[in-house]
Amino acid sequence: MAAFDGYIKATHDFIQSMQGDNCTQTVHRDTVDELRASIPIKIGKGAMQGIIMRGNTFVELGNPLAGSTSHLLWTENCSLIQDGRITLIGPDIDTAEGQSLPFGQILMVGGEALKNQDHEQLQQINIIGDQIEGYMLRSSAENIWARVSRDVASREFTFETLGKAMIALIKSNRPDITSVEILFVTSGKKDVEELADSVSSAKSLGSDILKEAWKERGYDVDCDFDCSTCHDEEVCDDIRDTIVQIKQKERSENAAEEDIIATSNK
Amino acid sequence: MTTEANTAVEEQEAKPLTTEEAKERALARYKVERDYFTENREAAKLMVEIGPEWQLQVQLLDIMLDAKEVIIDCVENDKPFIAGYFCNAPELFHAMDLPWYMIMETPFLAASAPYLEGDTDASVEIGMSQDLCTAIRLPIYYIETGQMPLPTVAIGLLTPCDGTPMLEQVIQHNSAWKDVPIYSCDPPYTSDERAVNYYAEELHRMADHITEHTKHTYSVDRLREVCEESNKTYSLWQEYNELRRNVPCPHGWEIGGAQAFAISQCFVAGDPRCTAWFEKLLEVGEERVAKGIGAIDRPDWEEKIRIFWFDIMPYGWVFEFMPWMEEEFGAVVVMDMFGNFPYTMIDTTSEETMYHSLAKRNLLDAPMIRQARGTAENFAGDIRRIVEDYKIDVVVWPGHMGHKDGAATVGIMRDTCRDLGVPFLHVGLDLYDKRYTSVEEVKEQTADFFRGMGLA
Amino acid sequence: MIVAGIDLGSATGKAVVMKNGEIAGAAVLSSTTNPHNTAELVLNQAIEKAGLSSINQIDNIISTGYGRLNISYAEDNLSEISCHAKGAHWMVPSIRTVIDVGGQDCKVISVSPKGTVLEFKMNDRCAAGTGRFFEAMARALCCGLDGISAMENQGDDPCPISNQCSVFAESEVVTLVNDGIKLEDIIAGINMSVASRLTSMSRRVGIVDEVALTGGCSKNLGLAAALEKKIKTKIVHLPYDPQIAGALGASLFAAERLELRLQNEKEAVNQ
Repeated sequence: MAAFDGYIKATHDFIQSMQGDNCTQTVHRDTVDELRASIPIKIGKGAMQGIIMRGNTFVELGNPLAGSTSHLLWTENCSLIQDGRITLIGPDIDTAEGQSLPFGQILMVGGEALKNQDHEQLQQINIIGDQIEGYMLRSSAENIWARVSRDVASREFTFETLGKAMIALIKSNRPDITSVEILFVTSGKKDVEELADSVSSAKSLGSDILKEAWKERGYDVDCDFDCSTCHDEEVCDDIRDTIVQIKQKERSENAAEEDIIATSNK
Repeated sequence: MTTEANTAVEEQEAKPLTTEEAKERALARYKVERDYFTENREAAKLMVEIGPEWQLQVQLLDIMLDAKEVIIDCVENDKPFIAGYFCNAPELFHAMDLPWYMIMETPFLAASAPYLEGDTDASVEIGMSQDLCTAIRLPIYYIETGQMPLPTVAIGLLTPCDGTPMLEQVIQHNSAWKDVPIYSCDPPYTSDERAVNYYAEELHRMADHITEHTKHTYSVDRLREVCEESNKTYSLWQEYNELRRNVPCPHGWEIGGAQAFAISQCFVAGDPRCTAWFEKLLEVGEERVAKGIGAIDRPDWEEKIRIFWFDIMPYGWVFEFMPWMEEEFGAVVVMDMFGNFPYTMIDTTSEETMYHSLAKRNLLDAPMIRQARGTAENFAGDIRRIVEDYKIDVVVWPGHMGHKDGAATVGIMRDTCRDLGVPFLHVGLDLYDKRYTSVEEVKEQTADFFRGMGLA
Repeated sequence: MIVAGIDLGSATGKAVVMKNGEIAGAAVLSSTTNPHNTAELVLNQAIEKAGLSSINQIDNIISTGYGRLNISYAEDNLSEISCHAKGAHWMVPSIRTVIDVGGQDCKVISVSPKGTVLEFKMNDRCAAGTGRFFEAMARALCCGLDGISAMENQGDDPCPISNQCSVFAESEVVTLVNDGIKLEDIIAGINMSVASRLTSMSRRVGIVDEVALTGGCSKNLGLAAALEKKIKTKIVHLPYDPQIAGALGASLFAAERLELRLQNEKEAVNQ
């Protein structure tokens, strides 16, 4: 699906423009099992027991006031994705104890068979739930807001760890995804906002794709206020007429009753 | 109340109420409601020894009653005040030092009050259709019979359902209310940046309207102060909500979304008392999470079913239903529509950023408005997120008779739940009037559902 | 581990015995007037087929169906909805919709990939669309249930049966016979009528491939063929008797609960 190809390119351009001391990149083309074995945390359903309360937070990522953005971009052209590459622009988790870092995350996934109908399920990838030990996405809707626990921080949990965990999870949960690349940005609110701008219309494009996917399932998630375009208009009109008739009948029955009562009282 | 209502209707038909008559009648009803909550508070005070949650209930009732006394004072002494809604950026009202009450507060807060059934019947007797949402019918009834305090300014609501604009029409035609200057923000259909900017302009116009008719205004510093306090409140609420993701959920139906929503939105938004309430709530919740205590702290009770109740709680009969679900099935409402409020934090950098954030919060985040305005994808999106975050076992769409917009979305919700592998229950009831679908029937449907799904 | 599931329906009792995750014995018997007796008879038959000598060799028993509360030696009882879903899913893991047509009720169940229930619709208030309906029709046609079921008896021009109610439908069928309508077309019409009803129920739940037909009426080949035409999808062939799906599901639940109990006991000992 070429819809997001331009945004993937824009993300790579962004990475290119931010190359420097502040930028680290690692590449991991291991198998899923090798990735799992290489990280010091559990991953998978139920990996995280419980929640991370504020008292147990090592670092906060993506507080909306600090700057936050997150997108998942997908393509069927796997050659566009640098599979296994994890890019970090800005400070890493282990150097940010007690801080509230701005957080931008772009997940780029590729699979030859991916199509529009997969878009909704693919967005679900972003909802980590309890699948990464020591990493909790807070329940906020429009952005990415996360916590890393003190416990995993003491086990050298870094963005590389997080990236590897996410790659392993994505590939094992979605075998049709064969390429995964991740960008993390923590360098500053301005950079996160710039990243957000570069992919800003991806979200509305995604909404359009979702609408079409729902239509193919037989649902229209939008409602056109122009009744003349609606194929149920006749049904609506019939119901309205029926309700009017019922009410008229009720009124005349009530009026007749009142007449009878009034007559008998005379 | 019904007898009085009938009398009121007869008199209204004979001769429309004067403003003074409406004022007296409204004050009388408002005081009855105040007295009802005063009794509740006294009862809650007696329970404080049982647990800290009762202390929270007392604090909530204190804040509510203070707000009611202020309105009574305004009416009696001709001071300016507003009648509005929770999603009209009440931070602005507070920054302008203007008391306000929520036009729909009775069905939301007092739905279990003993007089409500009679008032609901009376609303039909004066000619309203029974298939009109009870939450809309009641305020219309109170307005038409002169039992709603007459404000200096009314702020209307044109979303999320057809019922709310109807209320505004009633106001404009009512003999006592027709001279109350009313402003309703125009909600755009889309949810993009253009929509948010437009709504921010609407909020500006709303503020100007209030100033014009009350002579009250705000300073940017005061607005910032209120918004920062509001941010603190919401941060704490977010924190508390995440406690409810824990297994077991630290609280059940009795404390959580409904109270949090009321405290933060319905009385005084951006007030330090609200923040203090949330701090206490969080403290209590954190302790329960640390000790692994669930909704019912008893060794023979276990949380078995985690529910996402995708609507307002059934305020009219909540005491008869929710405790039963918890006791009988270990079924806990972990999250509900009004508890789930992933609010935008207000950027207090400048007046414009504050308006922008308030617009975003009130257009995109406020419950019901969030789901029912615009594309139905919001229903599906919330389900997808909440099921995962809160480890939901069952999604319940209560099917409130007034939420016909949501009824049209049932197929989408059901298919979303199917994709997630989570059972979906659609009931069909009135959240305020248990005569619509009896509590026994709802219990039977729920029990059959839980058993049928193998959850019990 | 040896477990058993008992499904006590209105018309038949079913039992399945599983040894280490495999079906070791299964039995289906007509219900007696006493559910406890029915349970004992059918379970004993299944035990015998499993090569066991006594109920005491069974580690855990779960009951389901209308009579499930009457089995005192069952550890627990569960709704037949979840049991049918689980049983059918175990037989063919790709099943996502189960249409169960029993003696006195019919149900449609939407099944998740894990075999859990996502949604269901049940008709247990009325005989239409159930085994009782077919019995009434067989009586009216004097042909027996086998007669209604056999494919060679399905006419090419099904005569629509307009009445949903089995009482009125019986009269209607008698009238059709008297009018000289071909028996095969009436039979096809009866099966089509039930298939229509089941299709309406299924659409309310949502028909998702693959679709399985269970319950006693699943053996009605004419019904299966009519249903396939109506829902426009092939009904999957189950590798075991479809009538035992509920009992099988109950035995699977028995195994799960036993495992959980043993695990909890082990953890308690370790502490």
